Amino acid sequence: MSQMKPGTMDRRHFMRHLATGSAMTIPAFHFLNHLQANAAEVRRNQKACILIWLSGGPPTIDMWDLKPGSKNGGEFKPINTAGDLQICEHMPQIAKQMDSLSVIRTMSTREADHTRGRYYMHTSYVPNPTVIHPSFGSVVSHTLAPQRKDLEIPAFISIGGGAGSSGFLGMTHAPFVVDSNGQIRNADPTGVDRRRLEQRLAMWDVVESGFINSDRGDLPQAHKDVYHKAVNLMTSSQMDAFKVATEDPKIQEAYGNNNLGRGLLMARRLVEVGVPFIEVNFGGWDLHNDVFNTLRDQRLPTLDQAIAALTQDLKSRGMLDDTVILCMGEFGRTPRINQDVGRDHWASSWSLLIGGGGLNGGVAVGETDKDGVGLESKSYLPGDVWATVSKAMGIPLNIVHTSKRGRPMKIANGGNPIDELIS
Amino acid sequence: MERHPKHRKICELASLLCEGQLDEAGADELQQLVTTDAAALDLYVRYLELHCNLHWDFGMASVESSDAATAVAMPESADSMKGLLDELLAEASVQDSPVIERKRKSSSRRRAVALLTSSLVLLFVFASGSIWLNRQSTPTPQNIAENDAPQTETVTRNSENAHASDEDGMDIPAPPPELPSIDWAVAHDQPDPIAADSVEGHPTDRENAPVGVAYGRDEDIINAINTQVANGWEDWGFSPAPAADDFEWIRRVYLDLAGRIPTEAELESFLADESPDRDQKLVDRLLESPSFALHWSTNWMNLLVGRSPNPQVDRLTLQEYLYAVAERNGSWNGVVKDLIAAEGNPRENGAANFLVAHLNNQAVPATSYVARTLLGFQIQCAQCHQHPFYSVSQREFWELNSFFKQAVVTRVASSGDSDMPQVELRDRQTGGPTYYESRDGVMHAAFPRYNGTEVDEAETVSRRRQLAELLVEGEDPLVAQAFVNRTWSQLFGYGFTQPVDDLGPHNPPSHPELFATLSRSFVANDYDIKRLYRWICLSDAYRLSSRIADGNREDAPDQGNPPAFTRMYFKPLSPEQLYDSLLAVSGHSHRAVRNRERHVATRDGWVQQFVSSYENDENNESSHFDGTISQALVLMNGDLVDETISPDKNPFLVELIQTSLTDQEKFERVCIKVLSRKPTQKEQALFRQVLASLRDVKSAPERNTLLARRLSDLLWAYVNSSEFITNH
Repeated sequence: MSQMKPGTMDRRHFMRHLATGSAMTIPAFHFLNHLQANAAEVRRNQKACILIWLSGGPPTIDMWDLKPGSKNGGEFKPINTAGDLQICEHMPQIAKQMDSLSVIRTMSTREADHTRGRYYMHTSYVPNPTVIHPSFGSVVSHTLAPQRKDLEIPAFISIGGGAGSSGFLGMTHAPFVVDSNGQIRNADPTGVDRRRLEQRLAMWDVVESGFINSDRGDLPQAHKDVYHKAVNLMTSSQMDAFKVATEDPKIQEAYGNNNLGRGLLMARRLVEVGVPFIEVNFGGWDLHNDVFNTLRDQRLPTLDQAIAALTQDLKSRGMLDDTVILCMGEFGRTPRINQDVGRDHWASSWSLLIGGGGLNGGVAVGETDKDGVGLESKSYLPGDVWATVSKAMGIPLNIVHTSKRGRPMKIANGGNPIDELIS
Repeated sequence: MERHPKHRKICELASLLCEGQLDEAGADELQQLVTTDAAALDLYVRYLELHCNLHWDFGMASVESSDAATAVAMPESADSMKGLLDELLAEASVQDSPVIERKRKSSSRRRAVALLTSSLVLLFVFASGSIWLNRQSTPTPQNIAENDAPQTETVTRNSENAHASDEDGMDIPAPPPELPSIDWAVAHDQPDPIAADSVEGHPTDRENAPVGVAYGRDEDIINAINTQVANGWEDWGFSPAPAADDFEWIRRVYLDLAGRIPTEAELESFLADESPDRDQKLVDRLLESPSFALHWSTNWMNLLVGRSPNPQVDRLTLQEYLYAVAERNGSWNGVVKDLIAAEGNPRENGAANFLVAHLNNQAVPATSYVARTLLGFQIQCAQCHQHPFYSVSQREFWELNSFFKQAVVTRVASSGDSDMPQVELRDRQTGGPTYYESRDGVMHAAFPRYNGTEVDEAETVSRRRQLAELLVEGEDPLVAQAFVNRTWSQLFGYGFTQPVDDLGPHNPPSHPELFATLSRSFVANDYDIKRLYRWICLSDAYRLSSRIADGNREDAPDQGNPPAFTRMYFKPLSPEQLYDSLLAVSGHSHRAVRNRERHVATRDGWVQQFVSSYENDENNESSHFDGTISQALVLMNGDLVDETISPDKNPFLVELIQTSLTDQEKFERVCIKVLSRKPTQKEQALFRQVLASLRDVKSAPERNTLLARRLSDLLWAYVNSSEFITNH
């Protein structure tokens, strides 16, 4: 798609037109309400969360909680890190950053089906036919977007898709799905000057209001709200945050020239303009066979480079204390190695990586038994993880959402922040 | 699970308690039961939990409605129960949440007494319940009656853990969460006790199923739909919306059957037809049209192999196979058999693509796709453990899986010019059971078995052919139910169950008798696909308007209520419907028919932008064509819309600008073209305003250019309306 062409009306000029009323005699229409935006400025001290989603379910026993000497141990050795814990030898770059990051080793989440596990880990609630729960990114959008008046792009951005839905919180808090290449499709009104866009929107408003008033339920109003957001986005200079290619080549190289690297770099740029929740999808973890070769040669090197670069970059910019990094999938994988040298789905004892946002680094929370099957200490549910993230982001834990039917639902399903991670 | 010996008694007593009708003797008996027997307590607590959930789900809406008289009948008892629960909750640990702020209605003295009795019983039970729970858990919390928040949290956690570690055995769905600190959402997430009880069945069990009548004649079936849907309205106390006007109806039926909006000519010819059976004639004509075959085959192709590209799958051949079925009006049982037993190169045998797409990962995806898409029940979580809601076991999953043990996809030498990988689906000569591993690491053997019939495990027997026959056996097999439910859901926006592919005793249908009647009639009429569509499209309910009024406001399946079909629900257009409708706006509808293969390939390319694959071994994918910002951007700025609104490229606009109509009439035609209806008064006022702004333009060419731009802008506005992107 075409980028903004030089010579077309610039944003401020366009805004002035809107502010002084349109040339046409259709009723005044104020769709674009962020007139005072000062977009280029980096937002300081705004809290954010970057979720790195390992789609398919990562074998965390080979990554964060190795079991040398056990029959389930597999091929990899643990190494020491900058923190007070060991991780897999194939993530040496992350190991150097582990003073800032921690591992929760006693996740126990009972959903070992991809769809159900994905839903559970994103929402803190198990699937239920009568209600669709929002992904936590939508909860963050719902809570923080109203406070960030300067934010002109969506507050929940999914790089690579698969981030779930906004459920009963409504379409305006749904994830905005983009590719990691930074090309946002269709975001520029091709060849349409912005005054004409406004004229179109004025006509559209008449048509839309008629339908909204024809007693057809909530959907038409929700549609209008989504358009409101979309138009804001189209006219925002914050869209530059998606253009990872304009970043210093050295930094691009540090993150890695692949989807995950570009995605995490984009996530950092989005945090800088004030986006509070970004999910980056990194798939290929459903390793029912050939788990060790795949991890050593493909998954882990990419992950190692990108997460280490992100942590380092956030730290050097003074953003790490305000930005939570969370890395997990829908579940872990069986401690037992199957006949195809793979590991199958396993939800009862697994690990995830969490850090930044002022949380304690270098900690291993909880302990599994010597074979990685049972838990030696208190177990955690997704609600506890999200409660911890909420705490770090300054989102009050006593928020209760109400579904359309009036059923109250506590934020993070009433989970508790994890003591070892908050000082 | 084991049924408690006093199951019925406990449920009865608990039910009386909930209704505030438990007398003293009953209370004593209940108390005796639950305090002496942990299993009875468990059952009792789960019963109450269900009651509370149902109460929230079905009772609150009416409490909130200001006009209590018109609210759905909410039993007095529910009210008193709510009062009771409010009190208990207030005492318990949820003080920090502003949850219970609802107006409490004044209770009568009698109810207050009942309330007190129940409170006492309940509190007693809580105390004993907590003791019982304490015994079960190691880090012993103190007595819960003190209701200290952190302690109750520990208890909940323990019950969670108990559950998690119990995944393989899973005889008990979940230990009882203790009641005072009920987290409503968590509580609801547990299997419902009543459901869990009736759920000892299996999706294939038909013992307690309502008897549907298998009718032969179309009129009888349509009558049955009308009667039974209307009975539902009466039971729920709803009044239906008025019938849709002709404009609303024709747009609906075109989108549902032809997969696109009607053209102006099609609209006019229907409006001009004054015969009493013009609805029937239109439905029949559409069902026989190539558009129906295209639309139906597209739907089923997406259900069978998804929208994500897969190098081994030849979507086009699959679509051509399904297209041919619709064209010759093949029967659905034939399709099921073809899909299950298919062999050969998927580029030649379209039906083979279904299994070729899903035989990866030890045919685990094939097993769950067959179950979900063709049989309408969800079995995928039973792969690793017992189904959370009913008694489909891990063994049954692998028994169904065992039917695909012989099937293999092998690479064959590339033939001719194609660079595409050539594969072949065939059966190898192999026998014996399929082995799987249960949670405790023990290996088990599963033999091919479906619905109680075991198939010879010998290697000479083709298991897939056997399965194909077993699936379509009987008067009301799951394949028929699943197809009927899905078809109904495609036409009404909601099926008899939600989700549509989750049949089973845990999820009772909204209209059991109607559902059974339709399924059986479908089977009795040789699985005739088009007649099923005909029955539904000619029913009264399908002809209703989508407008909400006071009499049907509570009919809200989007809030999880069972649908009563008192009006037409909103159906968002699929990406394919939207694409084909945009072509219709440009007057290019014939493209789809003239060169189908090219049309489908181009359209698939456009649809791809909305699809992301989950990249796992179970072939899941998601679509973000769901009313989000991405979709709005496509409609505002996308290439296809650009072309559609272009005064030079859209033949309709080119012609419209040159016609001799008045300017006002030109604007009106844009409305009819896009929304298949006449403009409203406000829209006409808008047209006049727009035209007024052109009044001062003196130069004719300049005026024409401006007029063309305004028409194009109006087309943009209509295409972006929520009225356009939904079928309603």
